[in-house]
Amino acid sequence: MRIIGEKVVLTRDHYLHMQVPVRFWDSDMSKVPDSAKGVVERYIENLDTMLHRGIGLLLWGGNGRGKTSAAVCVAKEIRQTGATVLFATAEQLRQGKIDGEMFNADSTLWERATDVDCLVLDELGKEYRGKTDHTERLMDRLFRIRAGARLVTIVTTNVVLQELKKHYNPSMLMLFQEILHPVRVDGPDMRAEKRDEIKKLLEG
Amino acid sequence: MDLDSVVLDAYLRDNQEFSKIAMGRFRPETLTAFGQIAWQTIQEYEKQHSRLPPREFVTDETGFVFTPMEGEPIPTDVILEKLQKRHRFSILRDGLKEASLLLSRGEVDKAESQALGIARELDVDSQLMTKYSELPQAVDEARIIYENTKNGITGVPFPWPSMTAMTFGLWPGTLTFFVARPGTGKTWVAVLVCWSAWAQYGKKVLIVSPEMGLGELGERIVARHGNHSYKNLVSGRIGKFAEPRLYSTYEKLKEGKNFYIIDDEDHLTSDYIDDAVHRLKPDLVAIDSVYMLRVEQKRLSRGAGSRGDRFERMASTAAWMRSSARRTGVPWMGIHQLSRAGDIANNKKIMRQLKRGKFAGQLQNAVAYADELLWHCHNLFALVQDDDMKVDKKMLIVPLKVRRQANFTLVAIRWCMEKMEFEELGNRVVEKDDELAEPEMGDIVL
Repeated sequence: MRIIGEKVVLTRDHYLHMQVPVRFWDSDMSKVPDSAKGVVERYIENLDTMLHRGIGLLLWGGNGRGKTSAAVCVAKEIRQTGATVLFATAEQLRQGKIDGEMFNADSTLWERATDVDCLVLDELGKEYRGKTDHTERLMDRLFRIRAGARLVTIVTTNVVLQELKKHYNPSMLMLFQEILHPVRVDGPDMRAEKRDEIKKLLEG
Repeated sequence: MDLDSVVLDAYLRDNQEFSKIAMGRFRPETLTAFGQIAWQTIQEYEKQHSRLPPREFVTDETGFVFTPMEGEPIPTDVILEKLQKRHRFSILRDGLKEASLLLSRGEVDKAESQALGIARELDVDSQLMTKYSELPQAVDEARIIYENTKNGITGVPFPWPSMTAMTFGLWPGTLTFFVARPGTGKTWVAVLVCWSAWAQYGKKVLIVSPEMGLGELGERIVARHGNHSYKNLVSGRIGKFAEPRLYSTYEKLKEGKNFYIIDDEDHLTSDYIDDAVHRLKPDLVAIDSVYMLRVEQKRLSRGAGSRGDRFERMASTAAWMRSSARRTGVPWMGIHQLSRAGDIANNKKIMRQLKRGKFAGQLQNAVAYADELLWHCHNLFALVQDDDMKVDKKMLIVPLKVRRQANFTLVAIRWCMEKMEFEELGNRVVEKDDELAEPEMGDIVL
């Protein structure tokens, strides 16, 4: 439940409830790469409009460039408005749907993903696909339900847009154009930087 | 009880009030012979002098002795009921005695005619007891209500302005219910409404809890009054810097008057509560955990282990509360558990309905069919708090039935036990599918 003008102070309980991995809890604008900063800032400035219209972001780029940090940064801002947020990888959602995994006593993870005001769908394209088109149909259904209800989805993927066409049907990608604003996230490899930092700490 | 004396005393105390309430329902022939003579003397005196006679005059003239009255005067409605009961008893006793005598003489036709006569007399008597008012009275009442409303005089205000605006406050003689799923904080609502009426509006309040003990209710009132973290208070960890302030609250509240509590004592019966209301004359009565009470044949007993199903129990309890509210002319408020029935089995389903703009329908149906509450209460609100709201420390008050329906809207409130913040946050719902609706400050988006 959002109340316009009312800002929620995020606590540990909020992060746990959003299911954001601990390593992203401190994500903020300083963690968003310069390549995406402008769009992310403007998205946050127009958050009420974005939420009302159900417009999300498609953050794409190479590994370790800060896509998830940028997504969590936006998600935190959204959560602070009182809107509900769920963070899940595409694979976690696929497996969760098969297993009937519960989100809480009332809802399954899948139900939560379809209901929540903002879904951060991490690592789209890395989910297991198998020989059938089950995963493809599942994702198609997810996006259609959310688009129909004008709910915001923030997608991160390291699959280039052209590659996505191979995995998903054209109508789903058309839907992406309607509800997701693409943002290329590029810059130094943050994971490599962290690795260097640890190396320096341990090896001198 | 000397009923004749009670009737004449009520009339001599305030003849206009007596006549207003007893209009068409009081018949002097229901008094005893002595009472009838005294009544006639009073009427003649009033006619001649345009005022009521002193009691001594009536006694001197007729020999009728007034029994000294102790305690609060008995309401006229109650007096009339008792008078009618006595009269019916007399009709039956004398009539059946006569019929029996005729039968013993073998006069069957006459006995039958006598029996039919009794039935007719009882029927007429019942009809006479029907309470009615005439149009001018209704118009007078309507004018008073309008003028009061125009001048900002409302019933007992809620702690949340939108709730007061929606209902014009808790009106005298009305029954208001709050329902919620377990663990939502129902008792807190009773405490908050009572505390606000008492501390902020100077009202006299009575809170009844068949579930909570005196100490538990006391803790809540202390926490709210002094803005002390309830969680820290109940765990004994208020902190050495905040503790002097806590002790200061204890001292302040010890001076407090006009806040009455009836806790989970075993003698909690409907008569007991009615008597307490009659004696204390509160401006507001709040009954927590109504589902734990049970009214059976006008008697109320503890719910746990009592016979009968929930439906029956709640129906009779709500009916009793409504009639008591009307009789006492005091607003009554009940706190009840939301049924598990139908589509309201969990918060997710409730929220889904709310998001679809069907907030009244499903909840109303479930509450109505499960507990008959909608039949009895004037205002009915559901407290809704899903997991997200719990983390955000918010609560949603959903109106299911509102007596005056000035504006029917959801009300969002803060629900923070750490900081003791319960203020209203917003009240206008903006539908997600309404592209033209520009959300404004304080609007709720579900």
